[in-house]
Amino acid sequence: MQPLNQSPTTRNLQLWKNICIYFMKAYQEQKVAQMIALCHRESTICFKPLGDEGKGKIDQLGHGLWTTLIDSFPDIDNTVHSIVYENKAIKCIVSIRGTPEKDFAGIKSKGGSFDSEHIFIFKLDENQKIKHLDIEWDHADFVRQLS
Amino acid sequence: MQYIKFAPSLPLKNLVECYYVWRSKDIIEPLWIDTPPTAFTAIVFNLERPHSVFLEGDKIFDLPQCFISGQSISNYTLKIQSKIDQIGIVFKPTGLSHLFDLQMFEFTNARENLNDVLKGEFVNMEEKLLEAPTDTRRIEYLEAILLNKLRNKSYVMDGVDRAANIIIDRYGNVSVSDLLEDAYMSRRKFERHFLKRVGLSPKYYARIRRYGTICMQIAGQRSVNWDEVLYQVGYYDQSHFIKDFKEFSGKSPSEYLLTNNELAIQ
Repeated sequence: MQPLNQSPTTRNLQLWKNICIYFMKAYQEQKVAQMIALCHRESTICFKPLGDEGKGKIDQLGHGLWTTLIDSFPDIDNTVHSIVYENKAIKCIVSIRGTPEKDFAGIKSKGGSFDSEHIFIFKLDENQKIKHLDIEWDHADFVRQLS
Repeated sequence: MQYIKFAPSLPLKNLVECYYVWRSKDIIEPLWIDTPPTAFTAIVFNLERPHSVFLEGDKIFDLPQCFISGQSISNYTLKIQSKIDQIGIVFKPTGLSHLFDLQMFEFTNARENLNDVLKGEFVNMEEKLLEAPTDTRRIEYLEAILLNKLRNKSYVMDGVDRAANIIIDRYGNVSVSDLLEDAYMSRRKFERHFLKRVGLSPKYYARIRRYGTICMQIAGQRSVNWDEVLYQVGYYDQSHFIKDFKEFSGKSPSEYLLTNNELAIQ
């Protein structure tokens, strides 16, 4: 198995894309433990719009944020639009949507739903584990939809 | 340069869009061809020297001699620097997935070596195609393989296949909620199957089809009536059109029109 800093073979590329799809499927099914199980134990995450507060370890910051998110948005769901190999990573364009039943991150629940395009950029290691994940979205638009 | 299309036989009409032969008689000077997403997938056999591809942000890389091309989601540039002798199978959106049991998201924006993906399916095909006396004979070789695959399948079109074909037929100008209603399955199931069989979500695929249709219409032109073009493909919101255009081509529509070097094939 090659690390992603080399050109992947066809087989590796297929495996990596499948791992990322499993990750998004676990998220859709609200199985945070399964999402974390696809990551290396030292994996890091960056929720880019949150700045320094959005950087940390996946099994801590990621786990905590997704658990809270699912608790606040019990119908949270996603649609994977595309998944491609780009710049030595797997780039996944995803729509995430949900309706809050509780306040989330200081945003008062007013019953409105959100539907927001997110970009997940997965970096994988030689053991087919996710070693880093960047997530980008339009946070101002997300807040606007819920407010 | 010669580009000829051939229709598939009746049993394959829901899976194969067409076959094509593309050739030049002479060795041609290096030629750069802008290639927008077409919303189709293909199996391509290069019987001359393979071409190169330049993707935005990536270096030039040589294409395999024979390859599977999944759905493209951005423009790329084809560099041709030798005589062209290419034959290909263009598939309907779910055709490759059904015939060869492929998960098409694995091939999105990728051109993978045919022998790595479909070992043993097209044995000695390059030699056969090279030796074939006519284009018709070449197509018969390819079609024989596809028909044989089809014979061993219990293939029935379902709502996902129909939705993908409707997106093609209506040039992407279709509501995904209408497609979902006709598919008789949950949104989640519909989207998962669509991603596996087509390589993209239904919504994204419709955007790609619409964008590809516009590119096809403006190919080879330096001046167009944008209002007319947008009306024909059902873009009623110009800001959506500009957003899509920039996302997929990396250029504004007017910049693209001035600089594009597409092959005008209808």
